[in-house]
Amino acid sequence: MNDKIKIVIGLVSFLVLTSSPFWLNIATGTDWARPNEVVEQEVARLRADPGLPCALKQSDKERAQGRPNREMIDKHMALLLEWRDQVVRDGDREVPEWWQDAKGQGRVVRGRRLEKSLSGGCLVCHTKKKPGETEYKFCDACHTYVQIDPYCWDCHVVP
Amino acid sequence: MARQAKFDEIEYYDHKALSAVDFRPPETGWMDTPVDMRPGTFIYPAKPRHLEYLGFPNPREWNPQDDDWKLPENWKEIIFKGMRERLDEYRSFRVFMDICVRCGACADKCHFFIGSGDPKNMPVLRAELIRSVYRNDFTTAGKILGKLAGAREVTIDVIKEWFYYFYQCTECRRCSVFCPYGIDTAEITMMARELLNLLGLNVNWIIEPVANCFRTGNHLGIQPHGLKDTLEFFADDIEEATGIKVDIPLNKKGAEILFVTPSGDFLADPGTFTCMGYMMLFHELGLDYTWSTYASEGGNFGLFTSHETIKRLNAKIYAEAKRLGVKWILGGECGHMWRVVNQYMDTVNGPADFLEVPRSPITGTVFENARSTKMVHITEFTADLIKHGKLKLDKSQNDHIRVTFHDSCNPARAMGILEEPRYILKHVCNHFYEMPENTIREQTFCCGGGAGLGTDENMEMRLRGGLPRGNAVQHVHERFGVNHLVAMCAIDRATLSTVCEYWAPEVRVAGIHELLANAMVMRGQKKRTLNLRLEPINGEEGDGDE
Amino acid sequence: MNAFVSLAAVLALLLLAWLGVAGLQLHILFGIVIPYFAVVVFLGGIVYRVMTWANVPVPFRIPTTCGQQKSLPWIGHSKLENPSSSWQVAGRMALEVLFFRSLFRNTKTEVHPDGPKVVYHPAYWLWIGALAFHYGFLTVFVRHFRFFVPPACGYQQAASWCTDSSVVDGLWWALGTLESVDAFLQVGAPPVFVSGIILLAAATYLLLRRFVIPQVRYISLASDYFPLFLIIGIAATGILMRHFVRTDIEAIKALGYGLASFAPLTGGEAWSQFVHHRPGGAFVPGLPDIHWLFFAHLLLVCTLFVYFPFSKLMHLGGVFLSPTRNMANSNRAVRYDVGWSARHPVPAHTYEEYEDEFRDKMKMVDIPVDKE
Repeated sequence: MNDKIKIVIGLVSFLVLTSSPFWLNIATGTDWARPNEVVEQEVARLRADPGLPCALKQSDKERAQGRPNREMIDKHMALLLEWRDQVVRDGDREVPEWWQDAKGQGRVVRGRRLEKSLSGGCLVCHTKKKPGETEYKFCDACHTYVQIDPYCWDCHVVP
Repeated sequence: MARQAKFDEIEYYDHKALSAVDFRPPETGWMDTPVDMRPGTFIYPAKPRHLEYLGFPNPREWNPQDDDWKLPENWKEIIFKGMRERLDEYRSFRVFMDICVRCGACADKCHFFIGSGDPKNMPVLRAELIRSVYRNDFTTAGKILGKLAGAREVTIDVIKEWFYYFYQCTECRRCSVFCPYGIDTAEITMMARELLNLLGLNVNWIIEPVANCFRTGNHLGIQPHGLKDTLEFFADDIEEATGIKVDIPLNKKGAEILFVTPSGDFLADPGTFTCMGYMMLFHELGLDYTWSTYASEGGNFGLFTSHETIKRLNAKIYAEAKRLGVKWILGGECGHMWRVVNQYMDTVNGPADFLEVPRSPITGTVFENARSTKMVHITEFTADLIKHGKLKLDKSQNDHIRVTFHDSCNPARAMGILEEPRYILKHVCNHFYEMPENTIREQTFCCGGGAGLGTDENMEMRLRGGLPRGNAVQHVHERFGVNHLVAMCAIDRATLSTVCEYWAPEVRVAGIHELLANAMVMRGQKKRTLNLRLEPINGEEGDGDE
Repeated sequence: MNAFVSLAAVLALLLLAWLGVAGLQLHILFGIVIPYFAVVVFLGGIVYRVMTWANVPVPFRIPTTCGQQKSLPWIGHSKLENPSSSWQVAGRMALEVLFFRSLFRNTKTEVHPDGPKVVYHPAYWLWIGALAFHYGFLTVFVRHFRFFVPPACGYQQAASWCTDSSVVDGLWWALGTLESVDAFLQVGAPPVFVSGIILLAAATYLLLRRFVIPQVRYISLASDYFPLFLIIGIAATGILMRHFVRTDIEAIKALGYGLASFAPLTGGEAWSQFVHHRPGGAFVPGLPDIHWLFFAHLLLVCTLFVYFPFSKLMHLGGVFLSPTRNMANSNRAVRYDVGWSARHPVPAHTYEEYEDEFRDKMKMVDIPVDKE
């Protein structure tokens, strides 16, 4: 029946489209890795410098187990947005507690005083791409892996 | 008043009461609301002798109002087997059982729902009546979850509900236009009626015409000499109106064209005037055509019975065309006839390879769209004549009337013949007004009496179902002074007369070829002072400003 | 009652996910076993259902015509509303499937008892709601592909497939474009996807109309409420996860990719998804690091997948197979026959039988007869 051929063609197209991730993965192979290596390098590098302040944000349990900062992994984007609002809208530049020195000001790390800012705070320690570099660094390793394209740099100059 | 009106007369029904439609659904769920089999809303059962003649199952006397419907012992098995067979034979049935999402878009599109407010007249719920049984017997979810999945077992009460509501659907397909999946309640109703027929649950208004048609060639049971008589009587009236004696070719072998029209046009006014219109047109053209007494029915109440019955009754048309040796077939103004011709005829009784591709002997136009079926609609034929200037028409002879056009369900939604009749009407009268757009063309409303429901014992439902149509007619009557409703369907001409009498009392019903014949200037005619109804046509032009 | 049962079922599913993941730590069951089962049932079920339909013949050509037929050449033919060729049918179907053409016709009918007067109002809300719902859902569905396909090429240049990656890159370009359009509001981090909001709002609208319109409430079954509650649950948990609860998206991607490459349990990388620590001692986030809400989201989606083929949701396939829409109205021009007539012989009443019965009467009035 002519009609049945059309139905089967339609059905097969539907199946191919819906299950395309499976075929695509079979076709392209699965020899890729999560961004672990990049992250591991980063962690190893930062651990070598125990004076860095961010570890303070870690829970005691996480630190004891050598696990990363869960809250930061899950919610760093919200924190950045919160900072943006505080700094830009309210002029509140008070750095978070775990970055403060005894006087309540941002600690000085690697010759810079930490600011409530991505580029002036986080990226003082965390690696970032330098101009011309293509290799994935700490942030964009995960972002690219999950295909996240933060719109920060739509406006901000890449530090 | 001298006597009390009965439920089969329109006087029985109070206008105000019928107008105040209650749209609140009952307190009880639809599965728990039994049928109220009240007079005026159901149709009498088929008489046993007709069923016997046709060889249909379970002929007996029975009454829908009785508790015992005298069903065969194994009726459940019959229904189950019948459903299974149809689910395996008609994809429409199976798909429509499966995919309805109950969005409710169809709900207020049904004339019976609009006029009655009964939720089981919403197409979706009408279908659910049978879908619930389908779920119970044929789907896993229904078997496991039961009522929660909308499934229910088939019981005598369910069967009664089917009988009541599937003979309360005119198979007009209006809901199908609005359904996002094209679910066609007409298809579902046809299946349900086939199932009911298996149990011997049918209505006489359908089965008697079917039996008649099988025997005598037409629904009315007119025998050959009676038909000749009728046509001669028409010829006399034509002569009185025009002074011209038209001839009546009957069962004429070797004619070029076989003409078939619904037999309703032979018997009941105003269809008779349309029939006279055909005779005058063919005479004026000098057409080499013939009527047939054996195939004297264009309509096909098989459509309201079963697909097999469609085939049985329809077979006569090709058989007669072959016997008489005609070249092609011309069909008159009818509604469901054209659904059968357009959607079933060639498939069930074709191929008509003994006929030629229809070609108008007057204009030379080849009707490519009827290349295979070899059957042409009279308005296609006539529109072509007018386009080629082959008819002399004096529109002013229809100046005393104001016309609106009712698209009949089947030509509109099972064929799409919308422009041809309008083209003719605009050439035969000066005052043509359309009804509101939600009530014409593909959105046209049923007359309330199609699909075998147009009988007087069903009067309440006919009037209720006729409300949307009647109201639209009344609207153009009030707005434009419309006083004639033209329809190209024999059932319409019969049932709309009642609907108009009730809902739009100053409008009467006519056919296209009646108006055409009234406007047609025939060679050798006397001065026309009477129309085909033998009423005076002159000097009545002044009522336009009301 | 029907609505209540459906809501209760969806809430029970949420509870089940919470108990199973947060309580019993059945991450493998909820993250791997159930999703595989659901996908198999979904695809297999759809094939089964569609083929069931395909195996039933369409004995007659029965299109519902919604416009002027093709007849005389000088009469305008309504090609899309009353198609007479396959291409025109394709056009009609495209209008139906992509734009819900028939639903667009929707009107609301009122009967005013005075007069009486039957009034028809245009009624577009159902059409708008349905379009919003389906396109919202489609966008959300397609967006989720990012969790199942390899990251953009260049992420790991060493990978062999990256030598020819035009397909993957093209896919990412398409998905990325879809996302940036979807996130055009640029509100929040991560930005709000409009499609998710539209899906949630439209599903809520479709649910509310089932409560509010008396006729629709009257016809609504549990199988009407359940998918709506389910989809509302899916959209709500998704939005909750993205914007409020937040969880480790990198670990979720690892799970998704693992599932879609048939390697959720094997290989060093995949194994680490639920053992936390790689042999080297470094920490890698795994299944236990993902919030239970994700598993609730996933369980609802899996339920939808399993439910889909056996429910009214099969209108997805059925809309293509509706004979009143997918057939050309060309019956009188082109014969249609798939064997119904041969399968259904019927008794005939022949002319000979007819003449035998009426011959005398015919002769009496000079109607010609075959046999004298």
